[in-house]
Amino acid sequence: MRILFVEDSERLQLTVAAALRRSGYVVDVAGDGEEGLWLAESNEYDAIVLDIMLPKMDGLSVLHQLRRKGREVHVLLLTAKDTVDDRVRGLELGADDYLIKPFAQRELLARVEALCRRAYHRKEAKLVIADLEIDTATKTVVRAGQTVRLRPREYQLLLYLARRTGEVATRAEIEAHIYDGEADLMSNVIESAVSALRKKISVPNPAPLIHTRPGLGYILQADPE
Amino acid sequence: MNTIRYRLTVKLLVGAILLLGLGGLGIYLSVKEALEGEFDRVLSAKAMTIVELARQADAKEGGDFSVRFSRDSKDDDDDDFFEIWDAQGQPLQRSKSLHKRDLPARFGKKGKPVFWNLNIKSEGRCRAVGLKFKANGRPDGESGSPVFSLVVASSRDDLDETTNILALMLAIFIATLILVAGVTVPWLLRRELEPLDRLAARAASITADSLDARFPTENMPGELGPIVGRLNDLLGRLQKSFERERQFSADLAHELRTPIAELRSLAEFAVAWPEAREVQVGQQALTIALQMEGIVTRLLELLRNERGMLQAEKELVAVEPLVEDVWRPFAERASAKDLKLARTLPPGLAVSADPVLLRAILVNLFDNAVEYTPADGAIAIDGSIANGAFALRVVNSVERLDRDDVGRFFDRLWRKDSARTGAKHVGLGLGLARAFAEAQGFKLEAAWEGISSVAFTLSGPIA
Repeated sequence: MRILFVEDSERLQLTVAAALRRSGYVVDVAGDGEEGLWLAESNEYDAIVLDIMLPKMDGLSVLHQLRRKGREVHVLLLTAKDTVDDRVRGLELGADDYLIKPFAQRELLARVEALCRRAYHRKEAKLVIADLEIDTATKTVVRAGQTVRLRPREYQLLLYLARRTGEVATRAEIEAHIYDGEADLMSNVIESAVSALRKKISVPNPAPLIHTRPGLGYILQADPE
Repeated sequence: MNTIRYRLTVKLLVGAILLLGLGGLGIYLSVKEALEGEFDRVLSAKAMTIVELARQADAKEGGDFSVRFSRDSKDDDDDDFFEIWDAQGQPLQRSKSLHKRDLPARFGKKGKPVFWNLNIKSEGRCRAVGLKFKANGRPDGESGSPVFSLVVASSRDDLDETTNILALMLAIFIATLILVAGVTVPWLLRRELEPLDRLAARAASITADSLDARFPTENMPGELGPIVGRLNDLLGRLQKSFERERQFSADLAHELRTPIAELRSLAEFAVAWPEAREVQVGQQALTIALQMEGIVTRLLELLRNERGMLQAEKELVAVEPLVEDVWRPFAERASAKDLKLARTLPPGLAVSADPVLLRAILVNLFDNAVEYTPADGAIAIDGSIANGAFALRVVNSVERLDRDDVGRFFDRLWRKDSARTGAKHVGLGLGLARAFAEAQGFKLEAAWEGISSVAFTLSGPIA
């Protein structure tokens, strides 16, 4: 999942972005409104965590610009302003959620997770595809009743494919949402990761779940067409 | 009930009752006096008639006028009474209506009649006139003529009845007027004081959340117009003051919430992923704590100044060396931004000031100038003396500020940029600098200069 974090406090940038990354998200950070807007327009994000009081362009203006341009990305407003008017104004401009500083990191992560689920039109914390179960709250994967231990990056890859069950995820999309620009499209990093993931989830049950669409990408589903 | 309406109602009604009562009493007494005067004139005429009859009898019957009176006297039921006494005070004649009773003898001096009221048994209240006369009609001064005394009385039942009717009518009239006043006075007062009620209702509806409301000025009586105007002015000032306080509270909350959020996030991250804890975490936590401490300390200093607890200890301070000393730490930052500095201070300028507070003011002004002057910009520090007063100016070019911002420079926690994160400037420095200036009897003002420059002027008496 790719997250944009727009916040002018360098300390919050460091700690929140690190917490998001540790939770398996790919995180881009912007320090002011203009940079945040530019990044939001230039990339596909699953969610944006947006501070309101920002240098150069405030968060509400960024949000307004995004909505005006038809960007439907889910936005969590993060601010020290706590009046009802402030919250209502943010939500009226198209924010999906609102979190007031100071906040609990766990709450921020849970809200970001919820926004990411909504990004894929899912409300449940648990994803079930055939005998594969992914619990996004506990970040655990179970197949055929057996727990499958995955690395954070593998988990995010599986989660991404699972949230798009029945859809083909291209290499470029996987790279953008999972690999933070570090994977070269010409390299075989993604193939290697998919291969490793396949192996791990086939241990409890060898029936394939991740299928390759040559020249297109990968699809996760129980019964390939 | 300490209301204007209640007090006016009571006073007006009491006034009306007194006026009507006194007026009615005056009318009653005047009419009564007129009626009695008329009654007395009639009584006098009757007495003069009897005197004339007595004189005629004295002339014709040789002093025995009992025959004539017997012939002329009315019947027993007459309401008029008279009695005549001779010079020795022996009754000579009395009216039949007296039924052989005597009338009290009271006479005026030297022929002047005297009037009085009396009760005649079984006849009721009467009014009488008593006088003395000479029967032969000769003047009183001549001797040899017997002097008779006469008292004539008439029943005053009709007079009393008339005055009683008058008193009753007046009482009814006055009571009616008082009743009417009792109804109309409160009604009129309520009607005329309605603008005050409207003002009171309007004032009662104004709360801290509706300070943008104003009192209506249309159709307001002339006496209330100026008061309403002043009240609206007061509301305007209150609104501005509340808005500033609200903004200050919001800014303060934000100013403290952001470092608290940083501190919490830092700690939670360290707890959640201890293996990823960086060595600078402690230093960062300390920095955040110092930042919050700085905010609280400055706010306390401002509060102390507002309570008049900030005391200046003045001494003669040489300005030029102080400016040079204070500028020194900023020179490197100014050089890094290629800022051009122009310093023009009168040689030997010395002012009576608190050196610590004056230094604090200069530190603040220089810090702001270096911080907010854009790269390649200019800073001018100049001083002047005139009429026993000094003026020290710090002028610097700015960007992202405009003329309207000048009025808010000294507001607590004000910053142009909505983003308030950052440890260095929290928007309290200029407020403090002004407080320090005022504590020394100086003024610190800001003004917009030229196209894009801001000038801060510290001024005050030299000595």
